[in-house]
Amino acid sequence: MSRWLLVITVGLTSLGSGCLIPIPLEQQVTTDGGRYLQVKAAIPPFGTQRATSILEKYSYQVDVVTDSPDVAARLYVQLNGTCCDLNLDNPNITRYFQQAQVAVVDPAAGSYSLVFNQQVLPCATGFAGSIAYVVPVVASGGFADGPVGVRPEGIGEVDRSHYWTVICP
Amino acid sequence: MPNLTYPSRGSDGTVTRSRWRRVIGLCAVLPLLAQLGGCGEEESAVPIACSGDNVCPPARSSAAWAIQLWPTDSGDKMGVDPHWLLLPQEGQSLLFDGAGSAVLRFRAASLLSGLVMTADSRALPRARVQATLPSAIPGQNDYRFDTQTAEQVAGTYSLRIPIPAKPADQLYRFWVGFDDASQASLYPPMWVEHPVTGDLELPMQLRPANQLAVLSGRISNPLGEGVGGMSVQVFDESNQLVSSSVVSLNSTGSNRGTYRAVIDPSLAKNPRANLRVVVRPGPTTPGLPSLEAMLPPPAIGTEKIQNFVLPSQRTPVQFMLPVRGLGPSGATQEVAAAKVVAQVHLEDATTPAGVRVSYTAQADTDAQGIAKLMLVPAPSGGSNLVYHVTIVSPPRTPYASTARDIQIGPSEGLLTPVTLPTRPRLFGRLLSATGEPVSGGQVVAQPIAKNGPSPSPLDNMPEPSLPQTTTDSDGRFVLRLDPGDYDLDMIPVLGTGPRTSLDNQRIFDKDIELGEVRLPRLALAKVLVLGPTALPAPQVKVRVLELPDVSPRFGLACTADLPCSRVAKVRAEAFTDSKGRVQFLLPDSSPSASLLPH
Repeated sequence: MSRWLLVITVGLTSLGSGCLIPIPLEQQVTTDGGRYLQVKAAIPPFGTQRATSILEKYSYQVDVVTDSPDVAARLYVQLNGTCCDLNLDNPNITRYFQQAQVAVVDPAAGSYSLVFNQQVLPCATGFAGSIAYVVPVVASGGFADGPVGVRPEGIGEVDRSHYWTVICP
Repeated sequence: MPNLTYPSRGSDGTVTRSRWRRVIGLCAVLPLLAQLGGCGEEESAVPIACSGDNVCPPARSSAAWAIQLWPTDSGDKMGVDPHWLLLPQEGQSLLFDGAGSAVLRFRAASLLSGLVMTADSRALPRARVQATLPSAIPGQNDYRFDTQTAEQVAGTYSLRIPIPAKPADQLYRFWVGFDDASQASLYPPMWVEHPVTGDLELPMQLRPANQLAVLSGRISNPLGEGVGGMSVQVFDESNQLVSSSVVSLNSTGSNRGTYRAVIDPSLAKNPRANLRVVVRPGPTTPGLPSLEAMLPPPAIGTEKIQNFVLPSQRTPVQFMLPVRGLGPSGATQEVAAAKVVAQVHLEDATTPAGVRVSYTAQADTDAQGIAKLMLVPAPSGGSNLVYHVTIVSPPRTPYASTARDIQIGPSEGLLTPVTLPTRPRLFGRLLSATGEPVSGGQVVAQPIAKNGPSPSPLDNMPEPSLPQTTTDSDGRFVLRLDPGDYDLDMIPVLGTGPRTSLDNQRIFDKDIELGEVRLPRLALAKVLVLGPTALPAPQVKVRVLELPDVSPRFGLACTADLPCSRVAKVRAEAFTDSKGRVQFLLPDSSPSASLLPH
C-alpha cells in the first residue's frame, strides 16, 4: 500500500495544468469471490495458420479484460491432433512453452496484454503433416503452482477455450 | 470457436475461487482526476498527460517509429462494402505533428479471388490459399490471410487482404498447398509473388509434370525389408517445402517402403543450392530415426532415385537424466522444468553415402529434476552411443543452460546427473528521468538472434529462455542470464515511465554491473485512427514500435565483433476509444547506464 501511496503522491505533485496522469490505486475490496476474465483479442487473431516450413516461427499475444491484476498466462502446444485436453505428463501430447509477460494496457478498463515473447516452432516437434494446437491458458488469479511452475491449473477464472491451429507441412 | 470463461478446478476437481485483494485502476478516481485537470474530452484508453515533466510532442518522430493496427472487429456484416473492412496492417513510419498528434487511416481492403486448377485444367477444391504479406518492420511476423478453395463452385476462392503501404516494394506471396494428406501427396505446393494495389483476380494453375522433377526410392531396414509409414519431403535451403509430401508405402510385397515425390525445382529460393530430402517417422512409426540427404537441384523432367537404409538400432527405452544446478555454496539442487533435447547420429556401414541419420528425444524435467527421455540404447556388447544433449534452464533459476555430449550405454535406467553451472548476474538500478527509483518495473532480457544459415529441419534446438524480473522499491534489479547477447527491455508501471530498452548487451560468464539505468523522459503521442471511409475506428489495438539503430558504432554495437539488435520493439500499445482516439507515452530518447560507455 505504501508503494502506491508514494506513487500517488509523486504523481499528483508532478501534475501541471494539462490532463492528469491517473495512477493506479490499491484498495481493499471485499468481493464475493467472483472474478471477471474475458479474452478480448489476439495477435495474430485466433484461427488457422498454415506453416510452409517445419521451422516456421510464430509469436503470439492475447489481450484480456479482467478485474484481477494477478492475471497470468501460459502457452502450450498440443501435439496429438486434438484440442485442448492438456496433458503435461506426456511430452508426446502436450508441451509447455512459456509464461506470458503481462503488460497493463488500460488500468481503468482492466485491459491487459499477455505477450509470449519467445518465438514458438510448433511444427518442429510433431510428425509430418500433423496439426499443432497452440493453446494459451489465461488464469485471472495466476497459476496454482506459482510463477515458476509450468502447469495449466489456474486460480480464479481460467480460459483455455481459445487457441491457434497450425497445420504443419 | 467459443468465447467462454470457466472456473478453474483444482487437482481434486473442485472449483477454485478465492477472496482476493485487487488493485483497481482508477475506475472510481479517474473521473475526479479528469475533472480536476479540466481535460474536457472523453478519456482515451490510456490515461496520460503532457504536463509537468512530460515532454509533448515526442522528440523522436518519423524515422524512429512504426505502427501496427490490429482491429478487434473487421466490421464484416451483411450489406457492408467488403472494401471497407478493417484488416491488420502496418505503417513503416509514424509522423507526429507539432502537437504530438498523428492521424492514421486504414487502407482499403482488396478482394482477391480466382480459381485454382490442376495442370490439366481441372478445378481443385480444398486447396489452401494463403496470402502472406512480409512485414516491413524489422523482426515482426508476416501478415497471413488464408482460405480454402470451394467444393460447391469447385476450385474458386476469395480472400480479403489489406493493400500494403508500398505495393510495388511489398509483394504479396500467394501460396497454394494442401491440408489433405492425399492431395498433398500428389502435388507440390506452389507460390507466386504479386503486387496488390486493388482488387485482384488471380487464377492459379499447378505446374504440369514436364515442369517438375521426380524423386523416388525405397526406405528399408538393415534386413532389406521395406519400411512403410515414413514421410518424405524435400526442402530448400531456407527450409521451404518444394515437393509433394508423401508417405512410404505400407503395402505388402516389394513395393513396401517405396515412395515417389514430385519436386518443383523453381520453388527453391536459391536455384543453385542443394535441396534437403527429409525422411521422418510418422504416427505409425514412432521410435524410428529421421534421415536427411542432400540433393543437387534436379532438372525439370528428370527422375532421381534416393534410397534410404535405416541403421541397425534398438528400440528406444526410457532413460532418466537428472539435471542439477550448482549453487554458489557448491551444493547442487534439482532443476525442474528444464527443456532437454537429446540427439544422436546413428549412421552405420549400411547407411548410403551422404545420408545423415539422427534420432531426437525431448522431455522437460519433472519436479524432481528428472528428464525422462526415450533414447535408443547402445547395442549390446557394442560401444556406447554419444548423444548431444541441450538443456535450457528455466528463466528464473540461477543455473545456466548448457549443451554437452553424454554417453548412453545398452541398459535403460538412471543416467549420471548433468550439473548446470551458475548463471552470471546482471545488476542495475532503474531510475526515472528525474533520478527517482522506479519500483515495480519489469526488466526483460530479449536474446539477440544470430544471423546465420538456416539449420537443418532435423536439428531441433530449443529456443533460449527469456529471463525477466521486477525492480524492487529502490529500483534495483538482478537478472540471471545465460552467456550471450541481449536487449534489456524496461517496462515501468503504466504511466510512471516509458517503455524502453538498453540494447546490445553482451554477457560472458562473469557478473555485470550496469549501475544506474536512467529512463528517458516521457513524451506524449496522440493518435486518431480512421477506417477507410474516414469514420473513426474504435477498438483497434494500436502498437507503436521503435525501429532499431543498426548503424555501426565502434566499441558499442553493430560492428563485426559486437552484438547488433535488428528488431523493432513495442514501446506502447492500447485500444482506440469509441472515437478512434488513443494516447501513448513514448520515450523521448534512449536510456543510459552509468557503468556502461555512452
